[in-house]
Amino acid sequence: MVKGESVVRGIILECIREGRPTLADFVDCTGRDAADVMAVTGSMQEEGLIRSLSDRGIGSLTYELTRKGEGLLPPLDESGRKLLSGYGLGSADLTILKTVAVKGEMLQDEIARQLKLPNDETISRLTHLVEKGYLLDRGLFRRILRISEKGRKVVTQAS
Amino acid sequence: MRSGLGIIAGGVGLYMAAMVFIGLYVMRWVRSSTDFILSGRQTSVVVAAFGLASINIAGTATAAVPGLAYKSGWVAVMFNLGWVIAMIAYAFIVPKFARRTGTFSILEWFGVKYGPSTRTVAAIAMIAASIASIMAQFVGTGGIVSGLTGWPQWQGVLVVGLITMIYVVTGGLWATLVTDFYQQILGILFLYLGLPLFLFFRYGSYSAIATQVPAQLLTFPGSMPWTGWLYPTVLGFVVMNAGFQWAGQAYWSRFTSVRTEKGAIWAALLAGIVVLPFCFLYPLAGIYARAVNPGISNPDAVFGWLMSQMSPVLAAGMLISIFAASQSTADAYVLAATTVFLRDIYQRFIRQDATSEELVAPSRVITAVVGLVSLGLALFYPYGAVYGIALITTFVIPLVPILLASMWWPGATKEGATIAALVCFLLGLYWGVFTPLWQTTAHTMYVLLITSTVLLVGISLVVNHITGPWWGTKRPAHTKEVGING
Repeated sequence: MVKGESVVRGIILECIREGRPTLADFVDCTGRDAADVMAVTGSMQEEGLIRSLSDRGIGSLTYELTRKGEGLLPPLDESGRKLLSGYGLGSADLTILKTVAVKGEMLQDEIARQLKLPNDETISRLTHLVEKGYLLDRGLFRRILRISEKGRKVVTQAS
Repeated sequence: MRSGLGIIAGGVGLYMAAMVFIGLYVMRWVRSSTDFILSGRQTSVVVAAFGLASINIAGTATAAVPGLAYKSGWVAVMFNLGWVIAMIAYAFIVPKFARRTGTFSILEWFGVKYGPSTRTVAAIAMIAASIASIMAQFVGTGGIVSGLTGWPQWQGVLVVGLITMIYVVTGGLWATLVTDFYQQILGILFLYLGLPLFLFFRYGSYSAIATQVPAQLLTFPGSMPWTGWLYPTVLGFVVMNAGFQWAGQAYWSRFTSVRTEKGAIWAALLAGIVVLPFCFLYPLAGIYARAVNPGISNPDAVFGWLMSQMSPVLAAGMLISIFAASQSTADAYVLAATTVFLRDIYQRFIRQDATSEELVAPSRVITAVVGLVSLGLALFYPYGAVYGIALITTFVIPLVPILLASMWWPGATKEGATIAALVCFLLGLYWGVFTPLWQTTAHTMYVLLITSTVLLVGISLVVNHITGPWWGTKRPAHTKEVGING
């Protein structure tokens, strides 16, 4: 499905809010070519919605929201706010954690299939959850995920 | 003798069947173009490291390194040690950045930074460089099969090319990584363990044979200069390897396929460690051969002579390892060319709106076309393989300054990058392919690195401070010229 600029913008804002603020996250979540995504981040910067952490190096590929940008995002309900401020996670992340907690261990592809998430968006979310320590991964070839103690606490407390 | 050849041929046949089986097995793991090109970004550190190492441990080293050690001594370690040094430096510069870009190809990143003109020029060059490399590996490995079976060379090339294509077309990067992993295990078993044990038990300890070779061969760097404008020099080995790695698509896609950014760095470091013993093994074999048989007239035949002294089982294992090394380098470049075709040409100009899932079939078709073109060239123009390294030097090395500037210099412009790339491609062909200047004046890599840097910086300064953009707008990546269907 073709995603227009407004859709891409919405996804980028949501990604940053949920702690997935890099160009790689945006590319995976939008399914678009990096040059297209960067064109959108460029215009969003010019409009003062987001800003990159630096004009060079790795910081130039990492973004944060401005107040104006935050204002464009739909408000979260109480549980969504708690999840975001307490753990830096979105509701889809919590669903992933719950699913993995129930299953014990899951392949990356299985998670995408079971939750009907786009393959590439799942990659971005899982990488974020592993880097934050909520999931542990192993597997020589295919990525096998299981929940960590930290992740289990989130599932218990957020439920 | 006949039974020995039978064991060797049987081993190679079994190995080829295993490669095809792996390709067919991992086919089920491919559901999207991200799976096909980047193994769904699921690559573990160990598998990525082995994949990186396999690009370096190529069959061409089998002829070159023992022969160099036979003639020049321990300085031959630089053939692969240059790669290790460049890779360790690279680990701290590019992998994390590459992973964070989210791009499939290095040229997609050039598209982000410099816009479509640089991306298109570099894409054409990268495809040419990849096809030249695939062709060289097909011809080299086909020659091994031909020598083993007595078939004409074209039959060896055909078998190697078709088997490589089957597993890459079916499994993409997944098949490449899984086969590379097992190919490396074979290499570790036979080359890392089998070769030194054979040398020790057959000919005695190193200290015993060291007395039988000229003393200069045992010093470093022996008669080879540390630096200089011509090749080879000690520094030249490092610069050449850095040039191939840093802007090489085969390396870039390994890093963007790793699970996490930290994993990308660790993969590069581990790859350096995996290759390190290899740096010393082939030179050791060359020095042993010099001590035992100082009358070999063709240095390229040194390793072949050593293999003729081995038991059939060890020789079979060694041959399969060499075969695997060549094939793993070829498959990396088949996929590199496919990625560039798919992402930088097909997806940009033909099916911009295709989803990742819809791109699986085109990915396979493009892989088959790339493989067939390379195979056709290897079959009908095998002598062209000698230009492989010259073409890679011409088309990849000028991109290194363009990549580094894209990361750290916001002032770098599309005009500087595009013109630097174009001029260097033409200059490289003139300097390194059509004239002998690379042998008499200065090696092509130095000429291209300097020219690319000077043009990129000079033109960018002129554009930024004097003239303004020469075409398009100032910041291609941040404007709508790339086109978003909003």
